[in-house]
Amino acid sequence: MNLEDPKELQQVLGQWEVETVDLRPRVSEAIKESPKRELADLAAELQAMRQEVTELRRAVAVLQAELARTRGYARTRNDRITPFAPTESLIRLS
Amino acid sequence: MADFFDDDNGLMEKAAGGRSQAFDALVGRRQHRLQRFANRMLGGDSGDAADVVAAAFVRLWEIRATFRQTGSVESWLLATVYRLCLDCLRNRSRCLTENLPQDEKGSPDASTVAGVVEAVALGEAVRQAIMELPESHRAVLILSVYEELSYEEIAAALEIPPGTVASRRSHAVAMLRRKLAAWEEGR
Repeated sequence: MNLEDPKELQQVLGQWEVETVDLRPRVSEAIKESPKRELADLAAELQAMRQEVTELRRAVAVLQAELARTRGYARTRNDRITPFAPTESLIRLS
Repeated sequence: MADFFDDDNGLMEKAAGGRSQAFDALVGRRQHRLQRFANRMLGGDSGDAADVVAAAFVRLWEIRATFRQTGSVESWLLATVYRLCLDCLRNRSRCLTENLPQDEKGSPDASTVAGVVEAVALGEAVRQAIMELPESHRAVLILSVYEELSYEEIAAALEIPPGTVASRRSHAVAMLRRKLAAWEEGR
């Protein structure tokens, strides 16, 4: 066989044949059940989102507590304000 | 039914409205190409191919109300089948090149006509050579050679640029030629 010839190559590749079946009954049967599955998926998703919201609330509470604790340690106003840049070279006016 | 005259998008619109007959018509229209594609991607496993294609149609049905497709419905289906085939290949524990339904074809009895034996052996060699291609190249080759899709259609289905389709096809054909030439020499 001359595989450099595109027609012959096509003919050679054509030797591998595959069969198909009619999937309509199977798909039809499957989609009858899909609304139930969709509802179950939605319920699971809602449950996961609720869980996530609860965890976020807990994280926010921890952060708020940490913030309050840190502020408690800072005695002066200057200590409580976090500078956006190094302040060594700045001139204090007051 | 009037579904016969609708294009795929028209059938999807009817399906979104709850008409399962329209979806049935779409399945009937598109299932064979998808099965051939999946079957060859999976090395001739028609059972897995049917599973994959059925799963793609069920997925399409589930998202019918929100389905928005810039390309064709068939592109979406081909893309989904391709992804499911890749998942299927990853999940297989057995070796693909050894699991094939070749025994019925590959071991003919003594009374089989020589020409048929030759054709079957060649078909098996082609199957093995294609299965040895990288999956990305295999998909391009199957859609191009067996399904005769254009580069643009393949690009839309596999979500790659048309230039990549052309280069992958060229590489795949070159690899196939080498593999089949080696097979012929080794006989």
